[in-house]
Amino acid sequence: MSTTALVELKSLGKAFGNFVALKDINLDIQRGEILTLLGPSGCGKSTLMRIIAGFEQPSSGQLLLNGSDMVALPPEHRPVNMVFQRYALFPHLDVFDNIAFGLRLKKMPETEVRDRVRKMIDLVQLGPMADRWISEISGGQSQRVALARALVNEPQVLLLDEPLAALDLKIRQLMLAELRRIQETTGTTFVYVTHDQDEALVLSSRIALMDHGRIVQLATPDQIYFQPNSMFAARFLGETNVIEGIVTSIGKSKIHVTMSDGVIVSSQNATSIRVGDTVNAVIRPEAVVAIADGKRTATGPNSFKAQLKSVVPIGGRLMATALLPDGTSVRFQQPRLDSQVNFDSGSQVQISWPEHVVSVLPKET
Amino acid sequence: MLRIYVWGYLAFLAFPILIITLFAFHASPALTFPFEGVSLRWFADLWADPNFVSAFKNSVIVATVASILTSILGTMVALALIRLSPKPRAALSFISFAPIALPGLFIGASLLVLFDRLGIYRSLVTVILAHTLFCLPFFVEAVRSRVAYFDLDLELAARDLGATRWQAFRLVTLPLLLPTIIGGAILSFALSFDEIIITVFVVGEQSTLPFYILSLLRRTVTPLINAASVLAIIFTLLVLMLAGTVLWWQARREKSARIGEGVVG
Amino acid sequence: MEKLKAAFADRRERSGFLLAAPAFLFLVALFIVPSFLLFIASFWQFDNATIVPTFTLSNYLEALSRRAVLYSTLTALKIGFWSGLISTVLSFPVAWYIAFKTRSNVLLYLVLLSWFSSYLVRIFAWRTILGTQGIINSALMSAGLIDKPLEFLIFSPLAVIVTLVHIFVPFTLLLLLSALRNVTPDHLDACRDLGGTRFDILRKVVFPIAYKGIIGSFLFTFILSAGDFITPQLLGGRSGMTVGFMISNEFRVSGNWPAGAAMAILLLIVFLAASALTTRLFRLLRLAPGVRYHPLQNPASASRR
Repeated sequence: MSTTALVELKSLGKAFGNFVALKDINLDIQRGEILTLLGPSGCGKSTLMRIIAGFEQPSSGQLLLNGSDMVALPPEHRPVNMVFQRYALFPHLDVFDNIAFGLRLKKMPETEVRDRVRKMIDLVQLGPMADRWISEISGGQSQRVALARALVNEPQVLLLDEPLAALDLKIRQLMLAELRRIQETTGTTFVYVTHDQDEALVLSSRIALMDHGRIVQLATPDQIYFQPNSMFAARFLGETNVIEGIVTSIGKSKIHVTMSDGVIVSSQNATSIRVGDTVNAVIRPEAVVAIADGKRTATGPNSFKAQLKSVVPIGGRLMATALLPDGTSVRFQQPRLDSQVNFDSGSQVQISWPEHVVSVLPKET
Repeated sequence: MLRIYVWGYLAFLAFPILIITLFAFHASPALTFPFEGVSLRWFADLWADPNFVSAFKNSVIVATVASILTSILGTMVALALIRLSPKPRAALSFISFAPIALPGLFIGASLLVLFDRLGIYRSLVTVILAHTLFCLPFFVEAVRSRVAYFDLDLELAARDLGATRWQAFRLVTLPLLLPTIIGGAILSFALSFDEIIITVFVVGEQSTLPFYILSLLRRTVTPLINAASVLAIIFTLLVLMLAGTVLWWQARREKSARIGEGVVG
Repeated sequence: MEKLKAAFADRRERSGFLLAAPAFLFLVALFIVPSFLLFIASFWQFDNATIVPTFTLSNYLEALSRRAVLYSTLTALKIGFWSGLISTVLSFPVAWYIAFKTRSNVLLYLVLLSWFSSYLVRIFAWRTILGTQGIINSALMSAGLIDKPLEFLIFSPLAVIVTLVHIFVPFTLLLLLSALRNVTPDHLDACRDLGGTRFDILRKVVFPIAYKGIIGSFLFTFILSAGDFITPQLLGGRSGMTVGFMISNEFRVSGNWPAGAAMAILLLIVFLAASALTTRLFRLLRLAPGVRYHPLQNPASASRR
């Protein structure tokens, strides 16, 4: 095993006429990881995947596999296979022959083809479906066939283009777990494209968050969720509270942000922020702690008085919105054990949060 | 590469028709280059020929009646197809397609035998019946794909709101399907106007336009044929354009009705 | 509730039958009955210019023993085969272009427009172009390339095939196009991704998926061209003696329907055989859908296609 990355993208760019689809993409894909390209539609994630697959040529930059250039190699010769969003299964073949398609194109001896296909069918748990025609299987099963058809070729990289988008919620959750299991069994490197943050957070080793043809943040799911590096990242992954303020001090491990009702302190690393900047302090709703005003404790940084505007019970959770005196609204979440609601709309509460959950980000212009 | 090929393909299709049109206006009877000037004499000759005029009239009558009959029968078939369960549906679509899977020779010959045995004299009526049989499969094929998208629940909704069965058809189904039906009717008209292979078996003493052209073709090579052909093409194009205008106008009316600003006039 | 639904479905079905009835009766009266009549007529006897409804096989025996029938059938099949093949091959790239390379339908409309220029007009047009005094010959002669007209251009199978191709090409384009619409760009990409060359894509993906349209466009043109009797008659010269022409003559000129009917039935059998043969050939070449290339994994539960 060499120590270099399996796939390296070096200042890769792609333009369609005047439209710039990808700008200066630098990305290393490590052996055996699940790397997710996450972003809204039109962010360039699918184009990037199609460049790795070989269906599109980059306009500039390099694409290396195991250290050697892949750009000139046509898709049929790349050790990379793809699972298509709408599966693109061949309707004229049955499940078995669909999976065998790639091996037969490689002129593998038929006995070996059948052996490998049978093993793959077992891996994706399609045993009873092997002889079915494509029109006779469900969406989830089609997904498994598409996966098996690609994996049976033992690609070095498996590309998955929004593979769960066409499935309904229950099957999608089941398939997520299945994808994980299959990836762990085979150890194949997955590059997974999605616009769904939940899928990305559940599945990924690392997430490359993309916007307007660039990689905005490349990090583990936890980092990207709890320490977003931009307002785009903060907003794209889940719900978030945004409080505007001015940076008053930047210490060794603490940033102080002052707003009209008090001071917010963050212990996260500061990036490209200077004292005096107008910034956004970003806090996830589930990190906010609220207590009824009667039992108030000490006040201080990261602790505010607020008035409850709305309280909505959602099954086992309570979703509430509180207004700070200056009118900034802060949403928070609490778990709920029974039908009791601990807060009344309109009442006073005290809300607070720990320092390490606060991200201080430059205000978007 | 592919683009050039496509242009070549179109040129192959258009070239003969352009040649015919060109020579219809040729001042001399010669059908070769060099071109010796433009004249309308062949059209004048044609117009002076009572056989041509009556053949043209007959063709218009036949095509009109046949396309109306085809549209009524075909629309009913299309509406039946979306209501039937798979087996009768397959049977119906098979039988309504079968007549064009056979060469016109078979249809013509078997109709000839039928009409003779029943003692029916060959006339424009037999031609109309034969043309309806010939156009029906095309009509059904052209209309069925659009009708397949028609949501039967719309009729149910109309019934639920108090419409009778007939009202539901007249106020909901028919307006929605009308553009498709008109398209199919025009197609039928054009097919009937041009039909010759079946016609030669069932035509009586009153000739149709293609039959008239065929008799000219058999006799000599005369520029009259060019002129007759050009008139036939122009007439078909006019009908198509008329249909296009109707459809376009319909689409525009629907669109503006949706936006909520009525069409002036 | 289930009962109510069933009642609705029942009424829907009933109205379906009612709607289908007029067209069904029309087709029975003018298609099914006449077809049977033609079949029955092939066993009648033609005696002294009158038709005697009896039962005899002599029409068939006569047709099968006449050399002219054999040769004219072969001519018709030859014309049909080449017309079918050439129209399909010519239209395939255009259908591909419309299906995968362009979004607009303008091209399709242009082609359809040419469909509406009459059948006879096109025969005459090709006669004008290919004739001994025609455009090609006179151009070649005035250019000094030839001394006397090229005779093979007109009144030959070539002229007939060129004209029939011109007539049927729009049909084949329509059939091929609707078949190619079943193939998605993803199918093409998936095949390349799995290691297929361009040729593999055509042979292992596009042909099997668009099989119906490809076979349909060939057979449709084949049958209609081989059964045509007007084009060969007007453009074929001596080679215009196709079996279709002989059949139409029996009905329209000599009035010997039984002979014509027997020949028509025989021709129909030849067409059916040719269709079956073509389908069979596609299966053998692995160009047909619905064939398994592996032993059944669960023999009990597999469905047939």
